[in-house]
Amino acid sequence: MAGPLDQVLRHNSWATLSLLEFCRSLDPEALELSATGTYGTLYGTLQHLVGGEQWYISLLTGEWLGGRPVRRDERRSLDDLIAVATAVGQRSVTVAPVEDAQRRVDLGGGEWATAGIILAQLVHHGNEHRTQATTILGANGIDPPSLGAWAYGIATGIAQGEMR
Amino acid sequence: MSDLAIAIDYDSWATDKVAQFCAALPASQRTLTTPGTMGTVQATLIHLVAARERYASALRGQPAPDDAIRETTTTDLAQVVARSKKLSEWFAEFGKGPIDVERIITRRAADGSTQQMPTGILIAQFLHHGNEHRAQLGSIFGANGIEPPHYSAFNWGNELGKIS
Repeated sequence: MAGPLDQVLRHNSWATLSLLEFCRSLDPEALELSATGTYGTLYGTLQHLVGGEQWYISLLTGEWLGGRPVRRDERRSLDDLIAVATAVGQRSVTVAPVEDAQRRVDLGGGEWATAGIILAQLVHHGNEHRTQATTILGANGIDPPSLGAWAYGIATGIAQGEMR
Repeated sequence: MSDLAIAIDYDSWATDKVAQFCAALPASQRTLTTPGTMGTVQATLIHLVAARERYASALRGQPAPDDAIRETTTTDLAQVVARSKKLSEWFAEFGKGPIDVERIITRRAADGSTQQMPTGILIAQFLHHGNEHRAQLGSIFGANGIEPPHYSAFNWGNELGKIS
């Protein structure tokens, strides 16, 4: 059964995959672009975006989807990041409705967070770093893809009307 | 409290925090910007809160009030901060539910065009929109040597004692 956060998580997954696929279509050199005030290079931002979501889902489920953690010191292909993001996005949608938002989740090192905070962080983190990626694209003269929930609704046929 | 209510409360907290930070900046820093973002600090903040007005109005099924924040007329950031807090109070009540995320909302744009979408998509959009423009403000601050406020969901959880 779909939970109240269902469309938020579906949009999050769709937007991350849309961004990754857009970036895969660029010249490989574009992955090294950056912009002041953002996280780093476009590739580094995408890697961190996917790795972060993979970690949040591992906290909730104990599963490292995609085989192994996405780490900064290992350069993985965009195809690989897309595969991890696909698995993580699908799992986020299935774990949220059965999760107790008040459950304390071990973060390691004696730290914890409630499951609800982790899900809120997952959504925040995705939007934050996708925005940094689109800022990098815009700052370098590349028209970024539309990643809002309007665009998601139109693309999936669950919203109607002209995007403005 | 549902995971959706947590995500909505987080969004309000983060926007209020960023709004207060921006309003406290000297006038010379409110006009800062960086390539790839929407515009200046002031314009981005006003747009962020003006959009919250429109999302709240769409969810209520009522037009925005006369004292709503608008990109075309609002210039006073103290007014923006105060209105954002009022909107946060409304969103907190809204988040307590019950929320029918499947209910279709018809949203009429200023030019008379209409959009139709499930409530869940509108919620995903306002969460995305808030994160997107807060991230742009973070990039502007970073690009201009201003330490940005810490506004992640983990930061919020720390304040609430829901992460340790």
